[in-house]
Amino acid sequence: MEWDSESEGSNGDEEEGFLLSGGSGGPFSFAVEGVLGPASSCGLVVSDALEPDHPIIYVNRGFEESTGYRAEEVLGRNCRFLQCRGPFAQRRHPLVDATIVSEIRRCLEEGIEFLGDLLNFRKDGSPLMNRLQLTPIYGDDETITHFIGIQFFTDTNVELGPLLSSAVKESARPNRLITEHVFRPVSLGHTHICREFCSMLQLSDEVLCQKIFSRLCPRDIASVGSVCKRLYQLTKNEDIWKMVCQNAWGSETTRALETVPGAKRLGWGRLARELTTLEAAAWRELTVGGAVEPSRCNFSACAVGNRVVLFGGEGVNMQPMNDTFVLDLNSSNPEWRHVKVTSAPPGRWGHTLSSLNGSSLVVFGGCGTQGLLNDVFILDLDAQSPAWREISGLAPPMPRSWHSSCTVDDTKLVVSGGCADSGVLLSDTHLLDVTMEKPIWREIPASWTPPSRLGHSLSVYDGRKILMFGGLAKSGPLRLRSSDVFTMDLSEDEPCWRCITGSGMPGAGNPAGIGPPPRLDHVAVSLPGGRILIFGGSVAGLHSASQLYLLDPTEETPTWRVLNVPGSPPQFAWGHSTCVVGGTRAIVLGGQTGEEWMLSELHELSLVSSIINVKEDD
Amino acid sequence: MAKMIKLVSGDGAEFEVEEEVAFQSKIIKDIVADADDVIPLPTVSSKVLIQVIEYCRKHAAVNSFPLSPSSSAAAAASSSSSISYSKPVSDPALRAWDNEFVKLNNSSLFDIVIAANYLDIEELVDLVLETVADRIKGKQAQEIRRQFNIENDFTPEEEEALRRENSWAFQNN
Repeated sequence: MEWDSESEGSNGDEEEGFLLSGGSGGPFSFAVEGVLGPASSCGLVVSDALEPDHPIIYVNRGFEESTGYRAEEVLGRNCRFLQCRGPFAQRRHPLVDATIVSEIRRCLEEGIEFLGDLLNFRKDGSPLMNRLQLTPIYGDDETITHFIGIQFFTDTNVELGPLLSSAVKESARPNRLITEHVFRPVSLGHTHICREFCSMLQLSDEVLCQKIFSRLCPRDIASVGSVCKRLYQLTKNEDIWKMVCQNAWGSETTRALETVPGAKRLGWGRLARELTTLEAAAWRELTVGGAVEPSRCNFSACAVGNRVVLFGGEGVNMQPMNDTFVLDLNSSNPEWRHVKVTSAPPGRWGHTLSSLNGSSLVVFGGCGTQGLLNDVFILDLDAQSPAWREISGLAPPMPRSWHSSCTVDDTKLVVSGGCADSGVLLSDTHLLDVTMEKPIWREIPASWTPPSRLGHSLSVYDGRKILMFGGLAKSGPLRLRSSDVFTMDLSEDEPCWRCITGSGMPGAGNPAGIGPPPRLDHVAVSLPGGRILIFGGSVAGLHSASQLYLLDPTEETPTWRVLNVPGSPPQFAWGHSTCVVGGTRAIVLGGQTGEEWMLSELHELSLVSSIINVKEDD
Repeated sequence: MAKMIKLVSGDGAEFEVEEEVAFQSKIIKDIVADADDVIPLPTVSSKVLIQVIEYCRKHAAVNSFPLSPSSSAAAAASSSSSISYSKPVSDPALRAWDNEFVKLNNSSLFDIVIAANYLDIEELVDLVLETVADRIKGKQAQEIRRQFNIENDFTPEEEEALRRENSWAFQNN
């Protein structure tokens, strides 16, 4: 294959073209003709020969597709990482021919062309045969400024086994789990084996990372990284942190976290730390454009990715409304937009709006023009023409308003409590799987239920557990604000309510820690890792509604903690009009006072460093 | 009468096991396909082979039924692209038996995982590594070193810097 390394300008069927700036000379353009063949099997890499260790400065799409490594993962690194099996391996794979590697090194040192075949590996560990051509590029003064590598990748059937990383020993087949660095030869044929060295470190990097570390939580990874130098190196890897975060927080949360603008720059390691310590949590004020008109209160808001959706509400003449608005926080100038839907549910207030998997939202219940409702509507925000679609579930719960709801497994709507006709308070809990062909409501039977209430919060944590807090609860003939915490594990065969800590429960004793004053219609945010953050609502007495309280229901003895956070919080925050965006920020809708719903002034509680504060890496 | 396979350990001991028990090992399954009923396993000691056979015997009954479509979909859904675990053991009695089985010291566990990997018994490999992960959970660095006999190769200054760097992981927030 011939091509002219010093051709300038573009040719007819040019496939690649990019601008390089030479060392001492000015920029020169470089065009490679279409002879490279189908892009998917051919890689092109350019490395800077003037920088130490020849960092990669450009890779083409063919390289990305063949190797599975994206450009941003490899720029700045030397190309030899392809000789390691997968992103975690620290050493060149033993089946890579060392003589070829020496030959490459010699050609680079002498500044001559190299042509040969080398075993490489994709990001997923599968083997690739790389027919590599390396060519030096000269700058104006005849020094080599760059190397161009053209790679023809082909799949190969090299027998590696799932976890191979060891040198081949005398045994009949290679041992797949052990690293090359065995401390002393071990004869496995003997019954008595004496080990003075550590067996765990004999496992390969891939096994350590993928099979052991990936099962640990962020805190454990920090411990592991402090054990010895090799483990420290392994835990520096961003891919491990991503796996750990995914395991610890679920894939839905991690996917939402990836869409947060600053997240990529923060990196998973730092995200894990900040979401564990909440050290970067702060209140900010946000001004947005557009308007939600006609004005209203008692609407419900929920986030889909980075978009806030608002539905319904109570107008100035107490009329129930049924329009839908969206605020896209990803845009540089977020503004409220009315969503034209082909069909809308009946207007309502005091309903709940919860997110489902993907880009869908579900509405349940509330108070409409004809009285209380128990219908279910779903909206897919990303559909071609978004439309609210009614889900007729069999055996629906009693119509109600000011109930609480949450979504389990991204697909099951859970509804609890609320206020029924004639003002009766409810305490039942129902579940609906909206993905079923013919959805059926199922009441969760419980031998004992917490006192009936409205305006309480329902949060999901640790998989399929739900936590109920506060509300206006029945207490004998009275209704009192509550600060009780109840949990239920929906994955049990017979789920039951457990009282964690509470003011009014007989035998509950003193609540552990400084608990939040009793309240209803507050905000409950589920943090990754299982903790719940409580603030806002209608609080009894003279207590501030903006104080933040944290509870970890997975602890042995769950204890309330106060969270002090810089910035100026909103004076009021209500559960139905606050939503969590991207898993890392709570957006409080509503203005200066409880009455005036100025939806252009928002308060945001951001849990991790915001994009503005993160230092740029220049 | 079930077909029997003879396994011979590295130290020459012979073990006759039912075919379906031996076939928990994908390697043995492949070898036997070439019409070979006596399988030498020179790298596996009899002590370890006995334990592995015990595991295979217990799991043979479960695995003789093919995966139903819903459970394999569930297994697929629960694994992300970069992590591969074998399907989780759903039978609580079997799970309890597995938990008893891995109550061994680290060096025995290590022997078993090496043998299980050699024999390609994926579930046993995952079981052991999951146990190792459990033994790390909730421990501080020093305890992990003691548990797994790992030498601390940091200088005191490096350790101090690490303590500060990782202090976030150990405070109660």
